[in-house]
Amino acid sequence: MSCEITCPYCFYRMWDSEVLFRSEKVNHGECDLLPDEYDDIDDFAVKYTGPDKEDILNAYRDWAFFAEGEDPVYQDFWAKFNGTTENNPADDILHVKAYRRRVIDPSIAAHRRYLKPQGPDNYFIYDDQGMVTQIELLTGEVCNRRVCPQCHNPLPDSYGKNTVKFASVIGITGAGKTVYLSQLLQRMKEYAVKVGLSAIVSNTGVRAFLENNRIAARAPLPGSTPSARLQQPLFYEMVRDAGQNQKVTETFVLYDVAGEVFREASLINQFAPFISHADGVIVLIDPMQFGAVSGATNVGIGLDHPVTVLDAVHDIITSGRAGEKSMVPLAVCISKADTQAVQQVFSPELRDMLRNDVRGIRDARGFNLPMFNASDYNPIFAQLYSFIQNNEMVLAQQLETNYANYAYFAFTALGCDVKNFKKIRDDEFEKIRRQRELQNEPPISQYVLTNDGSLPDEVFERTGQGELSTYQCPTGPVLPKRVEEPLLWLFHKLGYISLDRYIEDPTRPKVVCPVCGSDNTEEGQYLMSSGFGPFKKKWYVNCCCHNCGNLWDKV
Amino acid sequence: MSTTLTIQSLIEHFENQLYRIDRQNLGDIAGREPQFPQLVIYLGGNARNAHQAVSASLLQTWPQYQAELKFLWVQANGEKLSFSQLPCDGDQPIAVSEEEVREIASALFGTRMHFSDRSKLLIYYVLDTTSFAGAEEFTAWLPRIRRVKDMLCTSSTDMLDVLYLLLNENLNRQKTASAIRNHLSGFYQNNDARQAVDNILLLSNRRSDNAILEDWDICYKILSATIVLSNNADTEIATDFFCGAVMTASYAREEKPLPQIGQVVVTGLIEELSRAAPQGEARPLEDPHLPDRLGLTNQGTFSMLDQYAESTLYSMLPTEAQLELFPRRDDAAQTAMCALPARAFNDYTMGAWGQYLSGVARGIREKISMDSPARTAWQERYKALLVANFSRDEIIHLAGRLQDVAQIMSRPKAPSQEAPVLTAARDQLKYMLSSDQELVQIFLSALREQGRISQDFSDMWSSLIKSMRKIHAVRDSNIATFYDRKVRDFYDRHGSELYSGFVGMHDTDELAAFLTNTLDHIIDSNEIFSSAFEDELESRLSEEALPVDAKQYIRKKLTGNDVYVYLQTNFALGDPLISAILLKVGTPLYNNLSNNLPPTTYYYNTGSSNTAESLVIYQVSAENLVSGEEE
Amino acid sequence: MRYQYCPNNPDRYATNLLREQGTRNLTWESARGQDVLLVQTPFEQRADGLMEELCRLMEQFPPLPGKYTEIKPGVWVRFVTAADKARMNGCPINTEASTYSIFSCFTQGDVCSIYAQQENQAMISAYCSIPMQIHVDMWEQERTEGVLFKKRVVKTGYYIISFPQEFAAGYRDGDLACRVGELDIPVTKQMLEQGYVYLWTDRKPEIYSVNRGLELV
Repeated sequence: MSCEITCPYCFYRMWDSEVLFRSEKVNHGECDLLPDEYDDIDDFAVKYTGPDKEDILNAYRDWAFFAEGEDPVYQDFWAKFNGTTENNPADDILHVKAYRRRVIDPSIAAHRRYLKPQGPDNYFIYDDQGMVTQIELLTGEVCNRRVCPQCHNPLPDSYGKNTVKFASVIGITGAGKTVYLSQLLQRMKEYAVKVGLSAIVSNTGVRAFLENNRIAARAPLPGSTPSARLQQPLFYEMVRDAGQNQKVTETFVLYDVAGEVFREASLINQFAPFISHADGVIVLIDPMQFGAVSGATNVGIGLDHPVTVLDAVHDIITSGRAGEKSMVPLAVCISKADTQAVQQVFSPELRDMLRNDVRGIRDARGFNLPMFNASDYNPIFAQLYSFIQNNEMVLAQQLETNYANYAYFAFTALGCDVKNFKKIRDDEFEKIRRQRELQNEPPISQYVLTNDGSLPDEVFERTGQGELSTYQCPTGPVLPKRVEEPLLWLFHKLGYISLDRYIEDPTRPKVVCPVCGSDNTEEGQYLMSSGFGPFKKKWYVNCCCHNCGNLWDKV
Repeated sequence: MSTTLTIQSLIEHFENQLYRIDRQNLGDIAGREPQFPQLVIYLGGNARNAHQAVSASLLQTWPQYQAELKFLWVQANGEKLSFSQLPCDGDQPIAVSEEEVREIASALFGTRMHFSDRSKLLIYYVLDTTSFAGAEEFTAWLPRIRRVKDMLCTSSTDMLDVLYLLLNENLNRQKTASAIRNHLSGFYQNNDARQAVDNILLLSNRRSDNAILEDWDICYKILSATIVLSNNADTEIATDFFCGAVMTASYAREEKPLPQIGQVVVTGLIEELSRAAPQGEARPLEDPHLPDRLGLTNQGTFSMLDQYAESTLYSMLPTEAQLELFPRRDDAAQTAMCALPARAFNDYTMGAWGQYLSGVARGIREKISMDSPARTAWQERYKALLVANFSRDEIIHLAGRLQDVAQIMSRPKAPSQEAPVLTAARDQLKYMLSSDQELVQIFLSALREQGRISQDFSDMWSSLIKSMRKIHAVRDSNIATFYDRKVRDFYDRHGSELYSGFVGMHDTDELAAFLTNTLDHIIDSNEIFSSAFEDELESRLSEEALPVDAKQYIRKKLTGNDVYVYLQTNFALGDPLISAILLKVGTPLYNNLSNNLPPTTYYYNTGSSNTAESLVIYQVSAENLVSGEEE
Repeated sequence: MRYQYCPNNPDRYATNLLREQGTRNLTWESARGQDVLLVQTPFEQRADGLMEELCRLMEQFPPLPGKYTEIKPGVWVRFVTAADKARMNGCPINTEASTYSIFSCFTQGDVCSIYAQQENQAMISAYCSIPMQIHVDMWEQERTEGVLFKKRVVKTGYYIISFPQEFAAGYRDGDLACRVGELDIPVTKQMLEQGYVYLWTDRKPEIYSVNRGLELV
């Protein structure tokens, strides 16, 4: 069986048999096969005349083939993004970066000489489903680090076996993308379980992301993501029950894209593929980008209007076809919905609803069904829609004009205040920690509120100018709320899950009841009947009015 | 109470009105005005006490010079001098620096000031020896006066000054007074006193007839009179006054007894109104018509609430067709729900109808509770109804028995439920509104508030009566009888409208305005109030059939043997430096005086026909200054 | 045992109190190993203003372990340990139409410190109001007319509303209302006692709750 694979970095489409492999065998440092008197191989080749010259040269070439070194193809790809962001903790243990390992192309004869054939004219090892997954070196090392032949970026294990869906998370600096993603990934398994899915991490990227972007009470928030860097994609295998003892697995790839890239033409070109190939987009909007919110605070923050990003996204997705609506599902999310500025402008009903957790739909046994809870979501959507319509008509109009498939969400990724903290110097903190340990006192945090006067100033870290260094930290407890809702909606749009009932859709026109004029209607399948006994007739209509109970067929 | 209303304030108002009229009646003969820029400087704490009388007197003579009249107060603290400015029409000192003092002095020469002649600055120092422990306290002031003069930076030719020395010669201050007199005797030998000031007007509280004045009031009048006289376009008077000598003065004053007249008129008016007020205790609770007077209908509901129900709530009732929509116990067909009696309808709808009506009434109550302007408007309307239907005392009585009133208000009759449902509903709504304690509270609080207003009125009135009883009766029975009659004449003519105005009044502000307006009417009603004081005196005396020539009488008062010098001297004082009469020129009194008094008498036109003053200034020789009392 | 009400301690947080969907269980987020105190008060009345008083009352009338104890009229308390929470997956509610508040607590010796709730979390709340849920059925009344083959089902013009009679005892007039056209008609206790109520209308009425403590399901 051949599997068609789309590279998650350069989106090159290949067959599984076209993948390349990074070598498990790596030669470090200098080759010591050459006699000392020779500077290098060229020098040796010119000057040495011994009978074992060819042997030595061959041995040298064999050694050099597996030497750790630069990968020009890989470097070329990452040069566009100011360097690679690949960071695998295991590389430190193995003392070699994965991208400095030799790339082996089984289609090249010169490479095949190092490979153990697995059959007549075949050097590939296949998995149970028949997908190429490994090659084996003559020296016995099994190489399973598949890379894209185009850009030499790593392909996670089993990547390509299942259908892949790409989703991009976009937002300007400060919108909370990194915090959002960190919170989402931290609890991805729990969130997936709410809709009857299992989420399995399929590469180290998620763990690396979480380690580098740890969110905790009284610990500094991660720094801003540099806009011109490409963050590593995040891979999940989403598994769901298909019934009859079958299961379905789909690969889900998340990209973290800074909104600032859409301001510069050069950056747009670099990052456009991550939008144009997206099967779904989550846009985070910093509430201060809304005039209604920033106006309510009297704080003159001049952030870009959300439409700037959305215009660029639309252009990319539709390849500049201005007259065309984008069909890609777009989750428009208001982040930091728990800040005072946002709470002030939201209605009390919306505030109450947002306090609830996202709930799954349970079956009789108590397991969550693969369904998006539209019953809970619809009233929230109605309130957010009303808010946007009344306060951000520009955004509403832009979405209405350019997007055929969007919805509104609001969440808080932290659930608590962020304040300035000062940091106890490492040496002082160690002293304090030991002392408290000896005295059986509970440990304290190394970061303390700037207005906390319980410790003398001398113990705190200072800047070069002698002022206290301050860090933005959550006060705690860190409890995200409704962060998973846009993702679960996306899962529905991607076909992973269904709905428990009709979901509010801003792009579909309201159906008005012909009897009472109410727009509290729902489309679906409703049974009507008339007659009696053998003359009883039944038929289905497609509209129901929740206000007066009228059932009718909408033409 | 929002206004401070006392007998004294009413008397003052009366006096001020007469002063005002007097000024308005100047005609072609206006009073004289000050010629030169002048400064009055009080030295030390006691001298400052003269300010109120002196400034009031000067302002009365020169009312249009309020901006130009400047008063300073110098206090000494060892070597240090501190300055304050005293306002013309007040008593609160404002601290000023030396620089500001110079600015005040130089501003007097500005073009905005109305002095006719800016060639000189007249400075009048006032010094009171009452608190001096010894003569050295007096002598200590002399270099200070020099410092002040130097500070004003005027050369001696541009400045004329005089020191008014109020010498306290009480028995326990004799030694100090004697020492000061002895020191003054060196004035003519150019001692430090002469170096400090060019002229001294010495006034003692021990008159030439040995009487000791209890206060300096007369001397303050002398101060004012000499200031007026000396700052004069007739420069020979100024020359005579600023002659480089120690002087003293005799003084007499006759004026229209405005305070006494005011007292008689005001007290007369108050007494007349008191007599007109209803007597006896108010008993409105015993009145069978009380509910009606409280704005309640025969059904015990508030007519104001009934009107509101008719205009606003009836439209909120369901229509007959809508009555069909009410929930029913069963699906048995009814002819028409609207035809059912209210009780039956309510029963058939399982109480929903009653609850519905309660909801309507409750909604209105909540709306009114939240709508402060509506609540206030209802309260004001109800207060107007109370004022129209009850006297002050009745309102006070009712406001003191709110619980009884509340009981009367809380007896609306529940309407019959046998009428058809919508008909009964209208009455039911009215009943619900008038039964609602929160709405009833609006009216009770209006009554409470109006009771307070009426009580304030009553208290103010009582306080006026009490203050009236505390003042001494006017001793001159002639004045009392004469003006009493005038008030009664006025009341006979205008009593009924006055009475109705007074009885219907509840507000203290209204009372103050009513009384002052009435006093104004009394003044306007009889020309005796605006006549010159000699004419007034003549009228008054002739009514008593007293054969007195008022002008002769006044002349005797001003120039006769009862005019005393305000300094005791060992020897006769000799011919006066100035002999002056201050009065309104051109009047019959003036004519009489000018025909009968020596031609050397100087007449200063004050423009006021209410007062005539005589002032004679003498030089005091060194021999007359020396006192043998000092040790 | 002495009870003391202390200021908020972020290390011992207990918050995000919610009713678990479809159950009578309360769930919450708390610091690891954290014991909590649940306080039940009348609907939409929060407990934080009562805590000083409750601490004094609990000293006099110690709460029963593992149960709700009525510490003063209308106010119930229950201590839940971390182990209890894990075992019961939260804690069941006592009764509906109440507000529950959660406080973290820590016992050392004979002193139990109860910590004040965190105040600065707009979307995370340490209290949760549980309305009483009531279900009302409504349908159009139909009857069969005609005979034999001409029988047909016709609407009578009435809507029938079925109220749960068991709620009548605790029900207050006007807590529910019925909207028919432009009329909002209060639902009375008598109607609940009656059980079935008839409305003559061609428009489907709507029953809605006026009292936030009563939730229609």
